[in-house]
Amino acid sequence: MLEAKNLSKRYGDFVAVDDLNLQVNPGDIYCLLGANGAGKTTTINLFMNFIQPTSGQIKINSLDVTSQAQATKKHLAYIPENLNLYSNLTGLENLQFFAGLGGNLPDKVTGTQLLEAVGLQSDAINKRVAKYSKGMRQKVGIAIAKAKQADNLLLDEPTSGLDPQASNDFAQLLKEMRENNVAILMATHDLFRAKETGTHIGIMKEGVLIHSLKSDEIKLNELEQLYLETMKTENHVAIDH
Amino acid sequence: MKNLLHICRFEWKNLWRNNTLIILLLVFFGAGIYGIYFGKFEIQKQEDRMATVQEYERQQFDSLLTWVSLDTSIKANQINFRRAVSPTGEGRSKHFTYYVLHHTPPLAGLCLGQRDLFPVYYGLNVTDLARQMNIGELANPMKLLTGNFDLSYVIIFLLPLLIVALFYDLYAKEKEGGTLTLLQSQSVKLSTVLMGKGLLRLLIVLGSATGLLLLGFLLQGISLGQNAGIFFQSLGLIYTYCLFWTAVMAGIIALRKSSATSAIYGLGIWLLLTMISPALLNLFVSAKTPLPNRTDSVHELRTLSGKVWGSPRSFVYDQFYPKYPEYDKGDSINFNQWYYASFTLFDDKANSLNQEYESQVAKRNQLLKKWQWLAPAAMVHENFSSISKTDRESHIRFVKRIHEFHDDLKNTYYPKIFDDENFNKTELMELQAKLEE
Amino acid sequence: MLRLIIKKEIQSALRDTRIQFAGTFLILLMLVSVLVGRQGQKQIQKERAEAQATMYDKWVNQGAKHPHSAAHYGQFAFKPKPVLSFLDLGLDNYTGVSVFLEAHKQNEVLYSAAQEGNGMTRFGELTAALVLQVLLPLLIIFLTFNIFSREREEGTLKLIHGQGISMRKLLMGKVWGTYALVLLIFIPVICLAYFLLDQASAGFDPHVGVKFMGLLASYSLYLLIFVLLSVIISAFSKSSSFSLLSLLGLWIAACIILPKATTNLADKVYPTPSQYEFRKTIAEKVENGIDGHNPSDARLADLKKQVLDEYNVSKTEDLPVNWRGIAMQAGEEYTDQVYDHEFSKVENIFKKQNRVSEWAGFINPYLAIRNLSMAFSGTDFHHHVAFVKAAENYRRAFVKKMNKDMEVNDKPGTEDYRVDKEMWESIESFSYEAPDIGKIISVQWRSVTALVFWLVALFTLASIYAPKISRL
Repeated sequence: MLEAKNLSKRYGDFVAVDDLNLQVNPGDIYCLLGANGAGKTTTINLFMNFIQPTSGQIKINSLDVTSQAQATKKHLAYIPENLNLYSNLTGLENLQFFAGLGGNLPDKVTGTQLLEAVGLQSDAINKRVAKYSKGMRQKVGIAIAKAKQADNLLLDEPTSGLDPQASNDFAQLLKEMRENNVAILMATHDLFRAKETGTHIGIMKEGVLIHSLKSDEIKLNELEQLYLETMKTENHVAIDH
Repeated sequence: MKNLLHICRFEWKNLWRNNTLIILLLVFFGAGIYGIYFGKFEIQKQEDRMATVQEYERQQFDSLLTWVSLDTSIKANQINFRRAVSPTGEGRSKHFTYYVLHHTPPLAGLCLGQRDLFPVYYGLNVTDLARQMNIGELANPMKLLTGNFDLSYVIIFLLPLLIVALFYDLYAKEKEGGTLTLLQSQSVKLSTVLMGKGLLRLLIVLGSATGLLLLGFLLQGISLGQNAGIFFQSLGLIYTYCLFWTAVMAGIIALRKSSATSAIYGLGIWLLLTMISPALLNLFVSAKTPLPNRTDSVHELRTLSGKVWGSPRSFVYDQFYPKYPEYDKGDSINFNQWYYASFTLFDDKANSLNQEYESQVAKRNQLLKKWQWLAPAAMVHENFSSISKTDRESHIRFVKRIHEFHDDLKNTYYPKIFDDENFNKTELMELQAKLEE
Repeated sequence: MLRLIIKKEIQSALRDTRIQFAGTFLILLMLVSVLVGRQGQKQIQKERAEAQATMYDKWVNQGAKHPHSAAHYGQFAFKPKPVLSFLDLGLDNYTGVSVFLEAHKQNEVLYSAAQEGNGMTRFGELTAALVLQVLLPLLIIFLTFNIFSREREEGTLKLIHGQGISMRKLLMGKVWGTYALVLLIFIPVICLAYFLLDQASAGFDPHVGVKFMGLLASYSLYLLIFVLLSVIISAFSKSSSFSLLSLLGLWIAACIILPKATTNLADKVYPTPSQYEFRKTIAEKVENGIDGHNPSDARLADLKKQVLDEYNVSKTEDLPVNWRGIAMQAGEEYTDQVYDHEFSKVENIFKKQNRVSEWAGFINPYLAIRNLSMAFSGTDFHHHVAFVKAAENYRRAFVKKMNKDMEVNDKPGTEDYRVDKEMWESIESFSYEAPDIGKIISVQWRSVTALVFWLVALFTLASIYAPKISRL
């Protein structure tokens, strides 16, 4: 479970995240929408403890991220916009390395199964990552998360630059993870993907979470309308849950 | 610990598959093996010279032994007979030139040190040592200046470069390669991961250094069993040096600069510590304490020589007998007796002057030593030469041994000269035993 | 257009704090080396000049003596510390500083600084030469390694290309811009050094001005070569890191590894004889004649016969001159002949060894500048040999004078012949003048040619391949 309570991050006068309250429960896929600089990535980075909040609280599985950073990471997997792996190692070796860091070193058979389960072609598993496409690397990322048995997943625009096929594959993987009760927070630009994959959708602007709604409450074209309106309006509108 | 091992295992795969490591190790070992080969070549040259000298010495002594048994009733044999038995020699040539060799210490081929600056043998007879020591070896100064490409050079100059090359992008590579965020999202601290990666690199460095030293012993045919002590001493020194450079690189990595900047910092510190700081230190020391002028001692000796030749008798009575009463023969004194007595005076004078110079030189070298920590590369080189017994101190010990040898010669020759006696065959055989093995 | 590019290069480099720092550091190092080195040079020269004067004074005041005793008493020759030696110490720490000159014997030039110092000495002293030959090229590498790849990575190269500027012009602009910076770093300090020259030592070398110009010209050439080389490599490297790595690799090979390897190779190809062989050969040849068929007693007998015939007497006691004087001078001359023969052999071996590194200048410009710099600073092998020969000639001259005096004046029947101060004073104190610029060029032409060769080759390379830069 991912929680943010009155979370703010300021850089001098600039407010990157303003009084954010958010909760992602196991089995939820929360998609954060917003323009560049809206605070999506900052939010993800705050959950990752890459940066520290100015005020407020962040919890992962009820553990405080700021004070117990290392402990929270046991329950956490992360896939950045551009997932880079060690290009001289194979997909399997990368999986073994990263998963092994947390003490969950999968053996070759398990590792291969994991990679096959996320849809990586069998002949690619033992090839060096240098030859992988972005989609293939993202799949390895998911496999790492799975191997870690993390119950929280943070994704920072994971599908940007993926072709529709790869993007769809990726969405399927997220859905699978959701079924395994993983709490997923994803920053994205892709309205369609957010509506399709997410259980919840949040729209951020200038650090403020303006709208937060369940995705089955809204149709895609309504969502698009809402998003465009939000981007246009000057003043912050009250939020309805 | 388990984590460190895990990191090392995968980092090894990662590095090994990267051509850079292989190229670095090839260059390092290539240079090392060349250094080992070159060191051997230099030492072999010295040994060949010593062997030639020694063979010549033996031949000469064998002639003495033949001559001593000659039938002196044949006139033609008389000169050679006198050459063999007369302690003062025959005509203008002295009795016999003994060669004292500075035997090659086992590790000399790995660290030539200062050994190429000094003669490795001196030929000497019972006359004054001072002038017989005033000799150098023929050497192209250009070669002395450029220095030797031996194993110690590879370790002192190139090993730190290997360390810089292996470590500089330890952090920056993760950042620039984009794997940093993924690492930071793991439950292991980033510092642990970096430590693991650093540990592996350190192991590679230590392993290569050990390998190269072992290779040095192996290729130069140095017995490891007999020299285990110095092997471990050298290894300890090299390890310390490696750890020092690793610590320097750890400091640079901690700054978390880009790989290009870190590389430049690493190289800069390498330049500073291996080239600039010793050169600066030398500059200041030689400007502050110039070396003493040794020609004074030659001047003192020639003045003394003039005085002795001016009034040989008074010198023998006033100075030689009081000092060496065992040779006191009263009034009866011949040319050879005062002539040889004068040599002791030269040597006494020369020794006291020499001590003065050495103490001045020692003072200057002490000053260098005091500031040596500013130049760790030079410090390690000095220590390595000291372990290998190729430093200036070793040469000074060799000179000391020559003095002892010469004193010993005097103790054998002088009683004969002052008793006006000749050597017999048994005594010559005893002298032969003095020849160095 | 070219001026614009040059200006832009200089500006962007001057604004880089790392370059500012490194440049200042190098200037400071050179300043320290020049100031402290000049002080050291001055003091050492002062001491040597004093020692030379003291020893000459002792010669003059040695008292009344037989001339041959005086020849044994002997004289000293001190090598003047070359006035430019603080810019490049060269071989100065490895060659002896003084030699004792006496009858019958060619002593060695002894007491080199390297023998007296501990192992630290082998690391050399900081001189402008070290900075200019080794460190400044490194700065050039940092200035240039991304001079093209940065533009390529930032896309500005296409922009410039779009402006219709030829790549040749761009390349040369970058070369001259970098070179201007390099000159800015080294010219002022070096010129300062010239104004600080120790005037007392400069007196020993009337050509010091020309030599200094030679030094300046050589370094200007060398640094231009390095700038060209770095810019060209940077232009044809696909990435900054590749060009940095290849330039650093080249630098390490050229300045650190190759010089040693070249010298060591030369020693292997032309082995140096040992002192023992050298002395033994001389002794044997003096004894048995240079050709081995002219033993010394036969030579002496011949000479005796000749002299007796000349004066038409039958025994040496009847000669109007001193036979021992004649014999001694003849012996001296024969020994000199043998010595010259053997010494020139050794000298030739050393020259051949050094020639290897002179030719290697065509492969490694560092070796060319190293040789030239030492030559112009008066600290190379040729200067040392020139001193050795000057000292030896001085020895021969005064020993000959003693022998001649003995031959003419210490006639048979003369009792206890002595000469005095007037005689000693008639021999001037040893003075040595360093070889002039013509001599230097004549022995160092290979290095000069090597530098010119590099320059021409690189300019040609640059202008032929420059148009290909934008395609990469």
